[in-house]
Amino acid sequence: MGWQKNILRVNLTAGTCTNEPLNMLWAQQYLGSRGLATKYLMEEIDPKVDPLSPDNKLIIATGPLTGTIASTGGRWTAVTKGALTGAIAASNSGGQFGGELKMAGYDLIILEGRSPKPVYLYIENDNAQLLPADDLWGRSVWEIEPAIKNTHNDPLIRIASIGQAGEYGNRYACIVNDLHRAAGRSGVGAVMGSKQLKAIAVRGTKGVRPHDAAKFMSAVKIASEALAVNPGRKGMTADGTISMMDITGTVGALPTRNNRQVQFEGSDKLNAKTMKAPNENGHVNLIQNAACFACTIGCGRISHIDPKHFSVKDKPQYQHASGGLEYETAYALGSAVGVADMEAATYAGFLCNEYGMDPISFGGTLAAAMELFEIGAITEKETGGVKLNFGNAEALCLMAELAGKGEGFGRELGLGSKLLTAKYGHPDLSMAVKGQEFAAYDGRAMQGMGLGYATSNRGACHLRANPYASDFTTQEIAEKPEVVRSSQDLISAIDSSGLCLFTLHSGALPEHYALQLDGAIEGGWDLARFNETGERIWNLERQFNLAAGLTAADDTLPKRILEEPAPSGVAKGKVSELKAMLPEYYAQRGWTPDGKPTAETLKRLGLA
Amino acid sequence: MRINVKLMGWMREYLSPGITHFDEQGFELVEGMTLGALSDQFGFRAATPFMAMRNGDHVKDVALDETVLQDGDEVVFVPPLKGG
Repeated sequence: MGWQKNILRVNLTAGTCTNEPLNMLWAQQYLGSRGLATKYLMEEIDPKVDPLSPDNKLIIATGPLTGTIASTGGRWTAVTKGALTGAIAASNSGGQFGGELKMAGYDLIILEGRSPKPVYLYIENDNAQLLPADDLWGRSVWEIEPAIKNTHNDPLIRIASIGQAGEYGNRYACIVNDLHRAAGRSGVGAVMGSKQLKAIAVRGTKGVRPHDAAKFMSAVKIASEALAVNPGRKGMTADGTISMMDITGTVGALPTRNNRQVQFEGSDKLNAKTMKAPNENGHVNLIQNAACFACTIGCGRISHIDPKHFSVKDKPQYQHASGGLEYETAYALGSAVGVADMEAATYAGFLCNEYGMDPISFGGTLAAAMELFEIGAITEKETGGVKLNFGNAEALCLMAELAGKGEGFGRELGLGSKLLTAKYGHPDLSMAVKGQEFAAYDGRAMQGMGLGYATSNRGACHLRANPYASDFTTQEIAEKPEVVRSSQDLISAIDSSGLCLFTLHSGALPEHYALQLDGAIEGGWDLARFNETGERIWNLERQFNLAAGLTAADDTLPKRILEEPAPSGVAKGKVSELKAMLPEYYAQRGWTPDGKPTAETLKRLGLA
Repeated sequence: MRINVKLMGWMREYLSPGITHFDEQGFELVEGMTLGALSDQFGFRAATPFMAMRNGDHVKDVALDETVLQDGDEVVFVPPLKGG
């Protein structure tokens, strides 16, 4: 068990919901969530399809450990062809929605076609139906979650939905669940919007049964105790991910002003200490930490904005508590755009949640627009009279609203940095890989992260490889290909299990995942099988991308990272050595020099 | 001689259990102490991988024992922090 062995197939064109059995052969090969959904997508769509056409499919997937008592066992994934990238998209989220969906009895929901009118999917255990969403369309995530709960008179319904960004086709629109958790990256919300599907509302009371309950409980105890005593876990609970700000700021790995710099003079205004300290009005941004379903880490932050701050002083609707800054949002809505204002960043982050857009890609795109403005490639004529200079906190807040709603220059920001910079003649100013904007690490000080960005199947991402310990120890590149390759495989398997990647950063050992799976599902799981499953998933994603038309030429970094030396920090004077690392990475993967898995590799992994 | 020592992230969690008080500013050292010896005094090398920086420059692990600290140095210890 562990799996519910059940799929819900929703044909939005026909308006039908049908159950079908999970392909258990594939479940044994691809585990669940990210991996298993990618297998179904690969089998069911042409990878060359337009991501926003009815022929693309969107798969909402849980893993075998989702909905269980395993620590962090609440993760779910949205898998589709990405609207931002044209590559495979697998966006992972926490909150309560994933556990609820699993307990309603589903491993996957496959959403296909396009509804003729706005609808939402309502699931109450075995009862699944499409309901009209005419009165929800055009409204924000924050408006429709309570509206749907009121309609069904059930406050325990869990909801994943899109805001206005997903409706109008913002290329980095996300799917938001539980008000402020999100399947954030690659534009999965734009795909959902293209299907005229506003929300998925779930109530599940069936529970999840492990294959061997005694073995499973014993494994959960071992894994949870490892987290309980770990210093990294304690740091995650106390300070959240934003504690990274001081590290990258000190080392010189903090992307600043569209990666023109790698250290930000205002980083101490965006760090964990500032988040906890009273400001000049006596206001403290942080209220408390927060945990997702079954999580014993609790890295999330719940914040509120100073009511005297310019962003909210006339807007009482934004003065309440909601999801606060994580490190990535503090970078994207802070150093990336040169704004040293925690309250402004928190407000822009609230808007990203409310309108349903990825704050990393929004901040990265705004940073590119700011550089276009500063070099004169765009002017106040394009921006609607806004002086779009780096450091303009008012512009950050205004543009978050406009990009969320698709109004004015915000609609252009909704293109993402790749299309925006190309439109205005400066494609080199897009700090992105495969069209997806950088996360909060610079690939010059962190050579492994640079390789990880370049080779990530979904475009630049900090969650696809785990080179942190290596990168914060050495800039020498010899070990990077192996560190990146092996961690990509491990993470692919973790993402497919239903657990959170941050367990790996909080004291979990790789064998803990296999141990818990071995209790939860049949088939006999050990670390070797777990890692091989991850490698199979990574190669399957690669095959999707190759079939979609991507090539080795897409495994690259922007010219700035390859040619402009880092201006300061531990990597001062250095550029990314990607070209030296990539051939070794391909060789270790068992790929040809032009980045294609060899016949032997595919056969070994059961992909031939 | 006196140096300043900064512990980033949750490096403080890796301090030897015997160290009950830690003052980052004006840390008193004996003359000629190396960065490696200082790392050992805190218990770091036995506890965790880390990155050491001296006056803004990364000091590689292999150079820790050859790096003699000077009065007024700024030393930073970075833990193997991940993710975000």
